Formats: sequence, structure tokens, C-alpha cells
Amino acid sequence: MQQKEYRYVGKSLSNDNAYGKVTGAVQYCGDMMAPGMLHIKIKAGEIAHGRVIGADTSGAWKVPGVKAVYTCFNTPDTLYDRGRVASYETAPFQERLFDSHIRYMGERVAAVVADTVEHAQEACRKIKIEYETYPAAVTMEEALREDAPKIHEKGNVYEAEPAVYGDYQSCSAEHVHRSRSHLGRITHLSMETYAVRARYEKGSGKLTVWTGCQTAFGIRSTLGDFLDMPYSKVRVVKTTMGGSFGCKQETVIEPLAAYAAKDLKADVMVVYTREEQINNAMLKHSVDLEVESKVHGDGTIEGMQIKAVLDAGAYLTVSPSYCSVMGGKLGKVYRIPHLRYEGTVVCTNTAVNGSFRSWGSGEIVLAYENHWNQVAEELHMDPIDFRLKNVHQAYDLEPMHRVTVGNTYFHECLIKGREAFQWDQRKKKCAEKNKNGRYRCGVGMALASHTSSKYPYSSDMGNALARIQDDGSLIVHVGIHDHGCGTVMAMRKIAAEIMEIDLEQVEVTEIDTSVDLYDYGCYASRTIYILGQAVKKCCEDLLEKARQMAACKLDSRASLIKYENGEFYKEDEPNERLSLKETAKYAIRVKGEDLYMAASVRSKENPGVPSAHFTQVKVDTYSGMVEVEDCLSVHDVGKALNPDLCVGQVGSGIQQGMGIALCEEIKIDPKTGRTLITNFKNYEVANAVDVPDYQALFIEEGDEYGPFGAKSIGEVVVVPVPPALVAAVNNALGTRLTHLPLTPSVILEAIERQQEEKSHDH
Amino acid sequence: MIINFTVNGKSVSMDVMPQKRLLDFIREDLLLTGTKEGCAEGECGACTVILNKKAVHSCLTMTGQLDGGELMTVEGLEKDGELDVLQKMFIKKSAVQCGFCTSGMLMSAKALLMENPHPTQEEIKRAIAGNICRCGGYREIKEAVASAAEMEKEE
Repeated sequence: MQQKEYRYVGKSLSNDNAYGKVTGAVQYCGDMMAPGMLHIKIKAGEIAHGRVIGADTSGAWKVPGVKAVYTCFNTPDTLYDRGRVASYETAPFQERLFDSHIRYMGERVAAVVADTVEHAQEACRKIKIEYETYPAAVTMEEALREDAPKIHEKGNVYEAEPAVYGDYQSCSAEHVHRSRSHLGRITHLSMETYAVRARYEKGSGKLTVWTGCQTAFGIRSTLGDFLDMPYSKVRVVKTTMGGSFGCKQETVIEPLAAYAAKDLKADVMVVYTREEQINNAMLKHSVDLEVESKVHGDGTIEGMQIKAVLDAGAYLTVSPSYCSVMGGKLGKVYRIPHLRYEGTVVCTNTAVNGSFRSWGSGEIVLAYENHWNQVAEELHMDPIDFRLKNVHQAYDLEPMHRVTVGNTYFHECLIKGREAFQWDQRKKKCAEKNKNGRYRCGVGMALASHTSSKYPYSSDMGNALARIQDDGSLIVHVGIHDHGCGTVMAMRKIAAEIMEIDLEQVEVTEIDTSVDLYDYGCYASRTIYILGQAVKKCCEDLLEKARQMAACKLDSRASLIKYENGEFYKEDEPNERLSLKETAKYAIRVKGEDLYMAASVRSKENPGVPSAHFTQVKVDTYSGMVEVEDCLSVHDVGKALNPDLCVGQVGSGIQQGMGIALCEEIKIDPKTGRTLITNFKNYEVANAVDVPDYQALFIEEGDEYGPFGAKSIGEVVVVPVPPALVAAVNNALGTRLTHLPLTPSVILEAIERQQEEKSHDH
Repeated sequence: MIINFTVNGKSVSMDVMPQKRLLDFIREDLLLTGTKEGCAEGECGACTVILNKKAVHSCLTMTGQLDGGELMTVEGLEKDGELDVLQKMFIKKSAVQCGFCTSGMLMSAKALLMENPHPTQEEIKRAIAGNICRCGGYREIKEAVASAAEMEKEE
């Protein structure tokens, strides 16, 4: 496609508010201070399963500055669900502010509100909780037993509705292959922990909540329902967010902060410690996946079946939905005539698992990409050739949802990547090098896709309101929650591009439920695709309205008025110009009209975002360490509105993907249910030394609906990285490891096993 | 306890609690909230400041250690309305995403360049190995530090 030359779209202009961030001037929620502000600390329980039968809070009250001590005995019994992101959504509704039934080690059993953090903390320590202990089911195996202790009244197991297309059981092909994959729990590791400020105004009865969230309207509905307040009196303001990766999609600590603010008619703040962030917010699910496929001799896939078992932790929250969504994502990459997915969610007496970047794509893609890499090997086919035979073409039907995959370029991702990474040459070289020696090298690749909208899981709309100010500058209100990745910058570019004005003249505000039109929340990688369309349409409509105003002033008809660089003029009098500023002033002073426009768009499609990752690793057979030597990601993004920040996102995906594949895991003590890692000391991540100078390539052929052709990138970047790394390690060692993470001990064990097998063979 | 120190070039004499974490002192008493808490145990680098020309984790430093010292926080990088070359390069190279690691990252990089104005790629990597960034792949940050060093060389 011919690329049009734009002013701002597709230009690398850094991030919105980068100046504020490099000078430390930007205020995150936890940086807010106000006179009289109170602080909340929570107390963690000390049993994995049981009941609170008593609470002695007398010691806590003796600490100076204490304003409130909350336990299950003096707080409402009302149920809510952290995972509910809209007022109309159904959810398991299993959580209370403080439940007498304790379901995991470290669950909050009490909270103190005091004048300082220190006082609140000291008072928490002085609360004495008396427990009755129940037998605990810490592992999924224990929780699945018939005589397992009941964590919830309805039992511990939730079966998702199977996702089915075609008839897997009846289909047949020459090769049947089975594989298993496992993903451990990880922490999102947003650098900013959870922070919430809530202020209740006694006079007006209004509640304002500041939070670096992903779903302001969803949080508002949960708080309004929980506190029995009209939504109009609850205002949720999204603050600058220090990273989320899914953990800030859910309403974790807002109910407690809001309750305390209302109860005390005060301004309260709660900031999680890292330990609380790991144990009391949420982790990424641990998942066991079983794949079976039927494939023809020439490599054509006939059918695939996946069974997934997710550990939800102590509360179901989003897990049933997450588990179903995984099945829905089965048909996004390959043309497979017969698909079947069965998902089971198991509650255990462990810390809660929940929303994580890519919402199921990461898990399901890991399972089938590990699988296809094994199948290709069985068939003696190159993994890229195998995929080229099976991937979707543009506008193929995506079977699970009956929408098309849109204008997607799976083939091109594979072919471009193969060439740019010099896949064939590297593969050959690695094979030659691996005959002996301490170090083995390997290459691996994987393919993925993801969403650009939440349609057609449910309807998806975007709303925007744009107002030309009386100096010609522009304010755009859009229900956006920037995760830090540059979505506000993208919206500013879209608006400035349409209005043909300087980027500095455009202000895009992040979501504030008291002024913004409705938004579902910035998840499902929908921000650019839907909200971008809304901003674009809103600005286009606004420009037409301004054109009509200019026609009045210039004594002409709108159809004869041209617009260029922020100025209107009559076609036949190009020298007489009317600026936006003059137009706005004329509108207000003479015509009595404000130049504003609201626009709504609804999603008609949900284009896929093909994404291929290629990687080369060096495995040290003495230490079991894996070094990622080089890697490349190819992304069909439609159009990169912020190419610089898209590259940054790719890097983030590689870094997190390396963590998932090679080192990150939050382990739980199988005996006590205690979360064994609650800090960074023992939590390995890929750092500046580990992450290679990766390459990123973008395919920009443009989507037909996305703003300037843009689709999404924020989540898919991480998805193909773990299976590609798994493949590379297996390629280096000649193994079939699929139980993640592939830590040095796992690798050394595999090498040992291999040597034993070899000596047996001799 | 009364201590004397300089913060971002200004001399200060203050009555402080010497056992208070330097991080809390900076944020709550000096009201400089650009310094962030990420882990409270010196593993993530978000709270990095420069004390006596060395990068330190302010979460593991006590306020008493500030006595007679020279403290620089992210707020002190900009001089007379002009950004430090590192800040300029972080913006130019698009090394800023959510920004929560940025101040610590800048201070680690600043300490490196103060001690070693012409670092190699390897030295840059090692200097920021203790600073976690979750939004990117470190490529932009490494490039920004390298360009800043390059710019200073030219000046």
C-alpha cells in the first residue's frame, strides 16, 4: 500500500509527558499529598484456610493517630467481584472487604486507618486474630479430590463451556500428536505497586477515587454498588500509571479505600508494598495444557484439541472468563477445520490469580506453538514451512467468533522474519556447532496473534468529545487509560493530523468518570483501534462543523470552503484566510455557539495482529544458563502511529517473554500454601544485561477501520516469545522441554537425563 | 538530630530522624516525590539517588548517613531550566514509557557518567543492570545513555 506522508502519524515523537517523567514532576497516585490525609495498612492472615473467630483490636487502638480498625466483625457483608469491569457484567461475586472465611495464607484479615503509615502499620501488628483452622487444598491435585475441603460453597471446580468448531473427535489424519505444556505463576511486576486515594466530601456526599487503573467506569460501578451510592456521586479519576500488564485491570484495593473514606468522611491513601503487590493483588495463573492434534503427512492440520486447567487461587474472580476466552482464541492464527477446547478452573488455598497481559493468548499460544514445533520436527519439516502451509490468509473466517481475521499478513510475517533473521543460515550453523563442547546453540520461532477490540465477545464502542478553544487549541476528552505505552500520544497525533494543527495545541485528557463519556476500559488491546477511531471521527465531524461556521463568516457555502494548516478559505479567494481561532471566536461571539463535537464508533471487526518471533540462544551445559544471543519480532500492526514506542513495546514483550520462558516463577509452598517469593531478591527477571539488542520489524499494510490503518500491539508482543525460546532451547539440546520456566536446574536435569539415556543405549 | 547536607546543590540544615529511610525522608520531608519506591530492598533500582557522587538505593540508606553529604535526586538534574543531557536523550530516544523506573534509571546513568564519561556498551549495561524496567527491552535506555555520553564528549 502506498504510504501517505503524514505530519505526526507514524513519526517518532517520544512519549506524552516524557518531560514530566524525566524531571520527576509527574505525579503518580502514591505521590499525592493532602492536609489531613489518612493512611491505610492491611494485616495479612496467618492461615491458609479457616475462619476468623475473634479479633482483639484493643492494642491497635492504643497506637496514636488511629482512626479506624476494620475486621470482618465491623464491616459490611456485601459481596463484590474485583474482576467485574462493567455494571452489567456477571461475575462470581465471592469477595468481601473482610471475610470471616479465610482462603489463603496472607489474605487480608484487618486494616487500620491512621494519621501516618507508621502508626497504621504498628496498629496492624497489635491486632490479635483468633482462627479456627480448616484443612487446606493448596495444589490443584488436592483441590480436585472428591473429599477436598470446600474453598467456596459451590465447590472448588468450575468447568468452562467447551469451545467447539467442526468435529474434532470424528476427524482423522495420518499423524496424531500429543504434547503438554505448563506455565508457572508469575508476578506482573509493574514498577508502581497498587496505590489508591479516596476522598469523601461530607457536605456534598461525593466520593472521588484516584487510581492508576485500566477500567475507571468498571471501578465506579463496583464502588457505587458496594457503597450503595448513585454512580453520579462516585468519581473515578485515572492517575498516571506506573505500568500494569493486567494487574490494574481489576478492582483490588479501591473498595477498601472508598469504604474507609466514606466511613470516616476523610481523604485516605493506600499504597501496597511489593510483598502485598505479589500476595494481595494478583498473580498470573499457573496453567497445565494438554494438546492433541491430527495432521496430514504433508503438514496440513486437520484438527486440534486443547484441554487447559487453570489454578485460580483462592477466588474465582476473572478465572472462569479467562479460561473461556483462552478457547475463543484458538482459531486466530491457523486454518484448522476441527477445533475443540475444554477448560477447567480450580480454586486452591493460595494467592489469587487474575488478569495478565494478553488474557489467555499467552497460555493458549504457548501450548499450540510448543506443539507445532514438535509436530514439524516429527514430520521433518522446517517450523516456518509448516506454518506457511497452515496460517490464515487475509479476511479468512476466524472460526470461534465468526468474524474475519481482517487484513492480516501471517505469511509476510514469516517470510520477512525468515529473511531478516537469516533463519536458514542460523539454523544450519547451530546444527553444525552443536556436535560437542560446553555451549550449545539453538534457534526457535513461534507465531501468534491477538485482538484489537473486544468485539464480538461483546459489543465495543469508543466515544470522544472534542472542543475547539477560543484560541484555536483543542481539548479532546476520551475515556483513555494510558498504561505508559503512549496511547495518549497516539490520540494527540490522530487529532492533530485531522485538525492540521500543531501537536502542542492538542490536549488529550485521560479518563475521569465525572466528565468523560462511557468507556469499557483499556484492555483487550482495544485502545488504539476503537478509541483511536472515535477520536478520528470526532475530529473529522468537528472540522465539518467548524467549516460551516467559517462559511457563515466568509459569506459562502461549506462545500466551497477549503481547509489547510488550521485555516479556512474560499476556493476562489485563497488569500483570505480564517484561522480556527478566528472561527471559534466568531462562533462564540456572533453565532452564540460552542465549537464542540461528540462522536461514537462501534466496532464492526476485530482484526488480528500477526506476530512472529525468532530467537537464537546459547545454552551453557555446565551451568544450565540460557543466553539469548539475538532475536527478532515481526509485527503486522496495520500502522505504527508511534513507531518508536511500538519498538519499546516489542522490547517489553521480549523482556517479559524471556522471564516467563526462562526464569520468572512465584512458587507456593505445597505444604503451607505460603507464597514463597514475595520480594525481588529471589525473583529473577531479564535485566539490561540479559535482554539482547533485539530487532523489530513492522508490516504496515493498514486495516480498513483502524485509525490511519492502525490495529494493536500492546499485548501481542509478549505472546510468541516464550514458545520461540522454548523451541530454541530444545533445538540447542535436542530435548522437548515444555514445563516452564526453563531455569538452569531444569536444564541441567534434562541434560543429565539425556546422558543417562545415552549411556543406557550404549 | 540536626544534620547538614546539600540537596541538588542547595545547603540545608534540618532536624531529622536519623533512622528514617532516606527514601521516605526525600519524599516526605524534602517533598521530592520524583524518587520512587519499587521494592524497598535494593533490588529494583527505582529509588536510586546519588549520594556523594555514588548511586545508592535510598530505600536501604538511613537519613543519618546524609550528614555532611551531597545528595542529588532526579529533580536536581535540570539546571536553570535546561535539562541534563541524559534527560534530553531519554526523551529523544523514546526511553520513557510509564516512567516509574525513569528517575532511578537516570540517576544510575548519571552516576556512571560522573565517574566514567566514556563508558563502553558493557559498562552501560552493568550500570543499569540493577534498575528494572518492565515497559521496554532496555534498548532505548542503553541508546540514550550512550548518546548522552557521546554528546558530552563533543561538548
